[in-house]
Amino acid sequence: MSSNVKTPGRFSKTVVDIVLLVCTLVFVSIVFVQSLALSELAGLVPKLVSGVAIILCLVQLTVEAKKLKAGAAKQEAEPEEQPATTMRWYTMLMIVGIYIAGLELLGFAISTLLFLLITPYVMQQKKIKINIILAVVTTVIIYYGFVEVFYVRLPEGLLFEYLF
Amino acid sequence: MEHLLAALQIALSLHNIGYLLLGCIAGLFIGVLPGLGPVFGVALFLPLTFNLPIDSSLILLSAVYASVAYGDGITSILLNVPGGPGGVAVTFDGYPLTKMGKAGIALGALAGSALIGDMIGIAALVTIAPALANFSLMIGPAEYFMLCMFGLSMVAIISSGSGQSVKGLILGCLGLSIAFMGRDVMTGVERFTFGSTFLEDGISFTSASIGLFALSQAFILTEEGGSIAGENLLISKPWVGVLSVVKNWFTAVKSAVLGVFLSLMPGIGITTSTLFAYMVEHRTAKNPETYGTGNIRGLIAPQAAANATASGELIPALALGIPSGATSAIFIAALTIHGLRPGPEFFSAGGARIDAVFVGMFLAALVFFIVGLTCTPLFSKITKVPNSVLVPLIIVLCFTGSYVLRNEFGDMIITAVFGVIGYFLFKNKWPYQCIVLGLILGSLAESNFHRALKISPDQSYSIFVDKPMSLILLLIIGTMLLVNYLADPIKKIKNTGGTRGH
Repeated sequence: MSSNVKTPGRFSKTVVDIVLLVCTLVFVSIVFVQSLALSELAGLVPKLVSGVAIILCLVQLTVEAKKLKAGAAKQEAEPEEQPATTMRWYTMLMIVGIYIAGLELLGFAISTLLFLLITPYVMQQKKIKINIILAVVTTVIIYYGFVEVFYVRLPEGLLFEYLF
Repeated sequence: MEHLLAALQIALSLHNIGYLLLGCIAGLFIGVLPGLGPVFGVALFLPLTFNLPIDSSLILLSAVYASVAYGDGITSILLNVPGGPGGVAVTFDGYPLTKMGKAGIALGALAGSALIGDMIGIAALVTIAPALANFSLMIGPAEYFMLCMFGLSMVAIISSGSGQSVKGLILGCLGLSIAFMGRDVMTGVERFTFGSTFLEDGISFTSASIGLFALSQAFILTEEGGSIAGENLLISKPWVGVLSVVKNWFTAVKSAVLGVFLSLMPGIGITTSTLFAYMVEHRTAKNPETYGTGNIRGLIAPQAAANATASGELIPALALGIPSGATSAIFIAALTIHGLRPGPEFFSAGGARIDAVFVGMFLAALVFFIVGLTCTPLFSKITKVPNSVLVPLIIVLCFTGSYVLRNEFGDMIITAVFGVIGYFLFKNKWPYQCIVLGLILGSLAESNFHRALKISPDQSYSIFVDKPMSLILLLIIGTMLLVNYLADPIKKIKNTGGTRGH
C-alpha cells in the first residue's frame, strides 16, 4: 500500500506538510483580504507580510506537490506509529479539551484533581493508590502555591460562583 | 577602596544575604514553571520591597531576575519544556544531551554559562553603562525595523537547514500576522479580531509560547511513554559541564557580549537575544551539522546570552531611565518608590548603597551557580520519572501558567490551539521557533517601520538604505537568503561535475 494513502491515524510527511501549508495559506489570505479594507497606515505592514507569506506558501506548495507526484513521500514516510500511541494522543487531546471546559465550569481544584486522576490511566499507569496520592498532593501544592504564596487568582468555576 | 568595602559590608549584612537567598531560590522555582518568566517573578516580588531599604529591594529583585533567567533553562534541558520564553534556544542542544543521559553535564554547563553571562552583564552595567546607554540612543527606527527582519530571516535560515528556509520564513510571517491581531499600535484601529472582544487585546505571546513549546512536548511525551532518559544511565557530573564551559570560554564570552549589546535595544528581550546567540554560534562553528544533536556549545551560547541580557537590560534603565523591557520598567518603579531617580547621575550620586546593589548582583550570580550545581543530581533524576506522572503535571502547569498572567480563559484556549499546532510542526520538523520570534517582533517591527517612514523626507522608503547600519543589515539579509537558497543547486552542480570528472 502506498504511503500516500491515508490510513487511520497516519499520514505521510508530505501530506501533513501540504495540510499545514494550506492552513497557513488560508489564514494569511484572510489577513491579506481584511487588510485591504483597513486604512493605509493600519493595513500597510499586514498587507506586505501576508502578501509575502502567500507567495512563500504557494512556492512551497509547488515543491511539496512535486514531491508527492514524484513519489518522494514514499521514501520519506515516517515509520508507522503504533495505533496505541496514536490513540493515546487523541484521547489526551480530548481530555485536555474537557479539562479546559471543566476549569471554567468546576474551577481549578476539582477539575485538576479529576484530570490528574484520569490522565495516568490514559498513559498506562494503573496503580490506583499512587495515582490518588499524586493527584491530591499535586493539586493541593499547586493551588496553595499559586493562591497563598504567589497571591494569584485561579479559576473558581461558574458553578462555584453560582452556588456562592 | 573604602567605597567598595562599605558596599561589601552592606551587601554582606545578614538581612541582605537572607533576601539574596530568598530571591535565588524563589527565582529558580519560578524559572522552572512553564511560561512564568522574569517579568512575572520580578512583578510578584515588587510589592514585597515597598517596606525594605533600597539596597535590600534591589538585591532581592535582581536575585529573582537572574535566577529566573537561569531556571528557565533547567526544564528546557530536562523536559524540552522551556520554563519561560528565554529557555527556547536552550532546548535545541540541551534536550538531546538529556536524551543521551547527560542531563547532569548539561545542567553544569547551564550553570557555568549563566554565571559567565551574568558576570559580563554586571561588569558592563558597572563600568561602561553610561557610554553603552548613549549608544542605544543612536539606533533609530529604520535600524530597529531592519534588525527585526534580520533576526527573523536568520533564525529561519539557521533553524531550517540548507535549502529549507522557506518553511522558516513562512512561519515567521505567520507569527507576524498573528501579532497584528488586536488593536493597531499606531492608529488604535481594531484588526483581524473576527468580532471577538477577547482578540481586541491581541494574542498573548506567553500563552502561545507555552502551547508551542511546553504543551506540544507534553503531547509528544504522551506518545513516547516510558521516561525521558529511557534506559540511558544518568551521568550526574555537573563539574564536567562547568569544565566544558571553561574549555569553550570564547563561546560563552562572545555570546554574553552579544547579549549585552542586544539588551540595549528596547523590546528585543531575552528570547530574541538567545536565539540570536544560538544562530551566531551555529553559523560560525566548524561543525554546524552537530548543532541540534547535543553540541554543548549550542547550550552555552544561548544561556550566556540570556543572563547577560538580563543584567544588560538594566543599563538603559539605570543610566538613562529608559526601560528596554517590562522587567527593567519594574526596576525603575522600585527605584522611584524609594525616591531614587535613574539617570546619568545615578551611578555617581547613589553612593555605597547603590554599589552594594551591584555587589549583591555578583553574589546572586554566585549563589544560583552554587545552588544550581548542588541540586543538579536531584534535577537530573526528573528524567527518570515516568512520563505518565510528568505529562499530567506539565499540562496542569501549562494551563495554570497561561491563565495567571491575565486571568483570561481565552488564553488557555490559545495555549491549547498552539499546543496542537506545535505538535504537528514538531513532528514534521518545521522550525516552529520562528512563529514565536514573529509574535515578539510583530508590533516592534511595525511601529518602527511607520516611525522610520514618518521621519523620512517625503515619507520615502529610501530611509532603509540611506542609514548605513540599516543598509548593511539589508545586504546581509539578502546575501544570506540568496546563499541559503542557492546552496543546494550549487551542491548538486558540484556533485554532477565530480561524478563526470570520475
